[in-house]
Order: sequence, then C-alpha cells, then structure tokens
Amino acid sequence: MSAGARAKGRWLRAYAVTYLIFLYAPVLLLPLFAFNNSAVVAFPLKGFTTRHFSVLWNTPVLHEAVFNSLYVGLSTAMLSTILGICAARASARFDFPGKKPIIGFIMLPLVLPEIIVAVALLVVLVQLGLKLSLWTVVLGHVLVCTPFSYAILNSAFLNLDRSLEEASLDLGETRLGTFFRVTLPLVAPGVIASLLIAFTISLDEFIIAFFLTGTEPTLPVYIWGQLRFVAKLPSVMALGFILLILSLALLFAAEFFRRRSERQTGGQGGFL
Amino acid sequence: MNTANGERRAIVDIDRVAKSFGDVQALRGVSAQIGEGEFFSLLGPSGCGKTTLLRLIAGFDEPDSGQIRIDGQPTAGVPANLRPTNMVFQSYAIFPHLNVAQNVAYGLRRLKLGREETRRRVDEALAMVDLAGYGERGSSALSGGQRQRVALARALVLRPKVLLLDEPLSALDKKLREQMQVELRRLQRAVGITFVLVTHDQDEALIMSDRIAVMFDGEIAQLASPETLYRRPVSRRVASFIGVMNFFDATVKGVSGGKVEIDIAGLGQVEIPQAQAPGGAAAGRRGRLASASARKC
Repeated sequence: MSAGARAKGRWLRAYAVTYLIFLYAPVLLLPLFAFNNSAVVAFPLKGFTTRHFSVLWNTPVLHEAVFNSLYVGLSTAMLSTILGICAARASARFDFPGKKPIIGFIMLPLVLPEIIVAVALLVVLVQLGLKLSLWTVVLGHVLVCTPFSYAILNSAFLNLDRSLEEASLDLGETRLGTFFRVTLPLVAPGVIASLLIAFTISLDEFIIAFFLTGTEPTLPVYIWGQLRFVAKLPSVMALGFILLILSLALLFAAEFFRRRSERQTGGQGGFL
Repeated sequence: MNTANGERRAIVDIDRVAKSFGDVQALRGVSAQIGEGEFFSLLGPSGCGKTTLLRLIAGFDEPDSGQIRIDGQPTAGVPANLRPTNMVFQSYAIFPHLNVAQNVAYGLRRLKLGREETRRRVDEALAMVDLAGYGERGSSALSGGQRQRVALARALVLRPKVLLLDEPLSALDKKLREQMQVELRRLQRAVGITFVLVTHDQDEALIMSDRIAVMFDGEIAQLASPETLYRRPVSRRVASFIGVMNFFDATVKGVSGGKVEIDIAGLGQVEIPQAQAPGGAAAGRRGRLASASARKC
C-alpha cells in the first residue's frame, strides 16, 4: 500500500468515527440527563439522582399510556406475523399470477411516507364512520410492520429445504401435520424474530399513532404531549432511557433468534 | 421387454405415463412393470425424466396421462402420505430439529404403536443400517454416510411396499459410495422390499440392479437385466451410455443356420450367432456392431 493510500485510509476512518459520534452522541445524553440531579436539561451536570424515575413511577397517566402501547404492540406483532407467515409461505413455495405486484404492494408501506399513510387512513376511517381507538392504531401499525415480518419470514421459508416437507408427506404425515411438525419448528426462530421486530417498531411509532389514536394515547404520543412542559423534561429523559434499553434488548433478542434460524436451516445472509 | 420377470408379480405397474412441465415434455408415454422384491434402476443422463418418474410413483406429482398402479391399486388422486411407498431423498432430508431416533420414529407416530413398540422398531431399524446406539445423536452431528443410513432407516421402518431412492449415493465420496452399493444390495436382499433406484451412474446400476431401465429424453430406450444391457444394447446410444465400447461398421454378407456372416471393414469376414446381431439381420444390410468385451475396466 502506498503512503497516499494509507493517508486516505486514515481520513476515511476519521470520517467514519466522526459520523458515528454525531449519530450516537444525542442517545448518550439520555442516560446522562436521566440521572442528573436538576430540574432543567442543561450542562453543567448537578450530581446523581434517581428521582426522575420515581416521578415516572408516580404518574398513573403514564402507566395507562404504557399499557396502551403494550396492547397495541402485542396485537400488531401477532397480526403482522400471522400475515407475514401466510405471505412468506405462499411466495416461497408457489408461483401464481400477479405474484410480483402482490409482494410489491405488501412491501410498499416500507417506503411510503408514514404521514401520507396516516392521513390517508384517517380520512378513510372517518369516512367509514369508525371511531378512533387503539384498534385503529393497530390497523395502521400492522400496515407498516407486515413488510418487516414478511422480509424476515420470507428468508426463513426460502432457507427451508423443500425436500424436508416432502419427506414428511412421504412418511405419511398430512399437509397440516407437516406444517406443525416440520415447517413451523424450523421457521420458529424467524417467527420469534418477526414478533420482536414488529413489537419494537409498533412500540416507538409516533406519526400513525398520533393521527389514529382516540382518547387513549400510546407511549410516544404521551411523551410528545409532555414535551410542552419544561419541568417534565428530565422525567421524559428517564423514560427515554428505559425505552432505549428495552428496544436494544428486544432487537438483540430478535437478531439472536434470526441467526439461530439461519443455522438450523443452513441459510446465508443477514437482515441486520 | 416391458414385462416383469416371469416369477415376479408386478408391484408397480407404469402404464403409458406422460408428464410435462410447461413446454418441457419430461415423460413421453413410459410403460414398465416393476416386479415384487426386485432391485430396479432407472438409469439415464440428467434431464431424461428418471427423477420425474420416481416422483410420480411417490405421489409428489400427478401424471398428465396414463396411470400408475401400486400393488394393483390405481394411484391417481392418492396423495404421497397415503401411498405404500417411501423415499430416500438425494439430500437425505433429515429433519434438523430432531435427533436420530426421532427422525426414524417420525412416520411411526401416525401408526399409534405405543411407546414400547415404537422404540423397539426404531432400534431394529437403526441396527439394520449399522447405527445401533446412535439414537440420541443430534442430526447435525452426522457424517454424509450416516445421514444416508438414517434416511434409509426412517423409510424402511415403515415397511413400505416400494422403497424409492433418488440418487442416494451421489453425495458420498468414491470409497464410501462403492461400499454403500454393496451394502444397499445386501440390505435389499435382507428385507425383500422392492427398491427403485434413480441414478446416472452406470456402474452403480450395473452392480446393484436386477433390471435396469435406460432412459433418454423421457422414454425408456431399453429395459433389461444388467447382463443383457451390457452384452446386447439395442442401440448405439444405449451402448455408449452403458460403458466404453468399441464400435465396428459392418455389412451383412449372408444369413445361414442361425449364423450371420458379416464383413467388418479392416478386419475381414466374421461369423456371429444371429441372436447377437443388432436388429433384424438381412443380407446387404449395413450396421454397427458394439463389442462390450473390449470394455475398459
């Protein structure tokens, strides 16, 4: 390697490091201010405290928001995973007319601006005369989570050796029995990964939830509401810190299961 | 040529079976009868339709026309799980989430034999393929040869009427392959089940089979015993596929008393028994003589 190329390599590395700092420094501020003993979010730091967390503990409205978010997240995870299983199984195993456009439309919400989806859904729901509730939020979240579920499950189904299912049939098992005794156990890690990813996405989704929520706010909508009160800011930081840890834990768990699925079915390539 | 050996009852009766995939005609009206207890091979180059025929017998695909009877029963519309056939897949298709014993016991669950009987039959099947004591092993810890034995045990434990083998030895190295050829033959004799083997390996087919159907382009070119196939191939194509042969261009000079006198260019006149002459020998006819005796070994 010439001296010029080495210098260039050094610059690129410096650039990459700067980039990552810029990306993650704000996230690192979360725990800093969450434990900062002060009513204002500003430097210099004033010492260690956990009182912002106890404020959270004593706010019943927040608990309701957490419950709403869990309710929406779990429902979304279940629904989009079931839809993802059906779509992935169909597209991995069969060829049918219009397959490509159908898959295209399933994946489309991934690139559609969420605000467009949210406004469009709101208009339709109001026109239909449906009352806004947690279920309308679930509806919107299923729309944006299904592409992720499909993508994860599709690779799980594609990695599954077709002769395994044929072997099961050949050994006398019915099609339904084969699905439960062979197919599902082998794609189970993919199913779990899909559940976790969909739950995580739903948990911190704001725009759709903001538009489609009725009188019961989800956690992100609640947090947004709190930002108007400067005094609440430190406790929002504390809440954000908890959410960050939870999200990371869920993502790591999802990736762990996805990799296990890959090992089991002998596939290659990664999602994260 | 398409009848089963005299003393054997036909267990699989393939009657003018045709199958197409899109524009590709995989099978063009194939007929054959496979005898009970026979070791039968479908031999041919890739794309000749041999695997398609095997999958039709197993029930993974349905023929476009014609029919297949297994043990006298028509199979049209009968799904793979209800047919008295079991298959050893090319990839072995060992269930990766089950251990060896669970793999072998997979098909037994449907029979509801009870824990003791299931266990006894699994042990018996594993012993049959020299894998006694391997029951608790995880399937990912098995070598290629062991996987193949598990696949065999898993199929044989159900005591099928016909065992279908789709290129079962192609994934093994040469030494193991030769060993397994002998062992498969021994196993087949021991259990007395009809084996239908798909292979593109001539030596494999010649060593193991009672009868071989040589297939080209979706048709059976010749169905005969290895001996006949080797000594009296019906066409140049069959002859050159079966092994390394010498071909002589010859002209028939005359036919008399069961002998055919032929003139081979460069070698002079030779008399051969009429039974060995390819096709109908008549004076003046030109033909090719394939000599198997000069085959390299």
